[in-house]
Amino acid sequence: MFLFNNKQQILVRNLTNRHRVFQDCCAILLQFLQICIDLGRKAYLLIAQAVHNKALAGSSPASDFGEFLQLPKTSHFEIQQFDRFIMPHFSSQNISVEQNHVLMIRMDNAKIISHILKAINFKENSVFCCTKDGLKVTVEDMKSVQLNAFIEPGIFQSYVVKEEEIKFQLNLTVLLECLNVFGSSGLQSGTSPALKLYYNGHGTPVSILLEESGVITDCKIRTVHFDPVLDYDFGTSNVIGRIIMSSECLKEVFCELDSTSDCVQFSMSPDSANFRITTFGHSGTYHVDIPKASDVIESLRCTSPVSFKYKLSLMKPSIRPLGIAQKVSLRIDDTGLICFQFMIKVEDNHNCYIDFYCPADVDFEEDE
Amino acid sequence: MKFRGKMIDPNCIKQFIGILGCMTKLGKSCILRITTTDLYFIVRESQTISASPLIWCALDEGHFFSEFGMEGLSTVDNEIYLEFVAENVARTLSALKVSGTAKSVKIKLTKKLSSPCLTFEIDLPSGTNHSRLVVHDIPVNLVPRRLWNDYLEPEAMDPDISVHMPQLRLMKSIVERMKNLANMATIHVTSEGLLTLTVETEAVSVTSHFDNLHVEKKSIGKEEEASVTIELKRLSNFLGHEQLNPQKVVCDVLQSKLMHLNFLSDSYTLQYFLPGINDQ
Repeated sequence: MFLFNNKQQILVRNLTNRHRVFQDCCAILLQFLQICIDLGRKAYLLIAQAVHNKALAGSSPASDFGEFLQLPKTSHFEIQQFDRFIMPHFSSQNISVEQNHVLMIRMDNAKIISHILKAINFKENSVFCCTKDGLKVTVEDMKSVQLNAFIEPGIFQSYVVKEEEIKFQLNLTVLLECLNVFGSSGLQSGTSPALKLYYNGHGTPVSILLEESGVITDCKIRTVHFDPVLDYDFGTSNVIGRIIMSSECLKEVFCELDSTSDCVQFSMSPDSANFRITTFGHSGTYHVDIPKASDVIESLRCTSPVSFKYKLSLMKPSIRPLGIAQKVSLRIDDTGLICFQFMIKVEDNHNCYIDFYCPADVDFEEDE
Repeated sequence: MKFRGKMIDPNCIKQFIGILGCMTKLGKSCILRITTTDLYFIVRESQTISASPLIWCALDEGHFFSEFGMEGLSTVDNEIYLEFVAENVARTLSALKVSGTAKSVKIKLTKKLSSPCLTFEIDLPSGTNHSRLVVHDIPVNLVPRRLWNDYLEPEAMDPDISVHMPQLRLMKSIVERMKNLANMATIHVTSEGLLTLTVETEAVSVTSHFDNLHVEKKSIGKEEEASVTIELKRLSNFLGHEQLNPQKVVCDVLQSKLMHLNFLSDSYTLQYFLPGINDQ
């Protein structure tokens, strides 16, 4: 087992046979263990093989330690020395390991978070914004198209945020490589590595600890000061058209859209029976009509006719989240800004959401 | 020079195909060395002996072949050294795999159209009572005697520390991911059975810890730990193509110089020598 602190390890090397020192060490270690156990199911303790020194009057420090912790006597222990840099941390009684962490997340299955984040990784840079309501990760392109992933605290085994809002920017592609270090098989299959993520504030790297079958990988990813992201204000008062539908159907439509067309047009109106998706390609104009009454549309609300065009190339980042979602809602406001909200089911009764914002292609705005 | 071997056991055939398949994916050309007792496959990426990785595989002929006969270059040098292009054999192997279990496979050294070939005669089951024989001729070059010394068996190395690697599957995946982050990684082994793999770049540092490894050997008088920096792409390439299921994998490290992976099985051994990169 491994014992973790800020530096991921406590080493106790060459512990001497001075009994009193040894007892002190045990007391502190026990306290530390308790904290680690509070941190999560994967608190490990490494007690490696013993002592090069003389045993204490018949009993070796190893077995004393074992008794102290109520560990079986027959276990094979080795006690190494406290790192002198760590000792000062533990001089006070109610030591909190986490006192330096402003953000701390624990998950039993890291695949969930990598499944969601992979869907928004259309650009390398991402901005993380952590509040008590959960984790929001934003990836933006050229101050226009934006993907946001929302993961609520209930999805994590433990979610601690010490400030009102914690924001930092890091390379999402690198983060995903780290999260998938034990293999990138799908969400349902294969391994489920345990994850602990923490961050100590501005300028420090994000630390990630992953454990799988006894192998532990720790990563430190550099953070940079975040660039402000566009805050799309999608007030409900401006929304003209809103649809909730099955994402599988929409995905089929999107995959078959004519790629020779520069843009795609979404149209709906209170009078028309259909939600229409149109492309204008080399071979002609294609309309895909999805009847409001069909099974795939859960609800469609439209206060007045709305029809806007969007550049097909800008729509591309929506394909991946569409592929992993179960339901999608589309909202278009009076400026033509479209917001897709993808609902993704993870684990039994939890959902994560991904938002996608795309402005309309303004040169070609037309009413139906 | 003569060589003739016949395999009839389906498991042996399958294993032979696996080994040969692995070797052919690891380099452009492969050397086959035949002695009276063993078959050796040797792949070396480039001609410079010290700097490039070397893959050395030895098969015990007694295990694989029910019939085996060879006559080497001369009575003094009773060995055969052949060189063949990996891609040519790969096609033979895919034919073998696709057509199901062969009843027997005969491998012979032949001369077709006045050039030497390694001929695979594969006896396949067919719907009728007649047997179906598929013959593949793979052109080979005979390696001249003066070059035989280039392919000598690598000296049994005296590693600083040697550990048993049980979690190769995880290591494969980790190395694959690390390859996307950096060019080089450092392997560090301690005599307490801890192996760590580390990459460090400006943007990220990743360390994987494999603990509680059984220490096979520790050189007396040397340090308690050893480390070497290796090129990730090469290691990832090797681990990625390695499809074998060995009974045991041992990792040896010679401080700053070499990382050696030894795949041990009853009937064959496969060794991968990966030289270290000097940080200077």
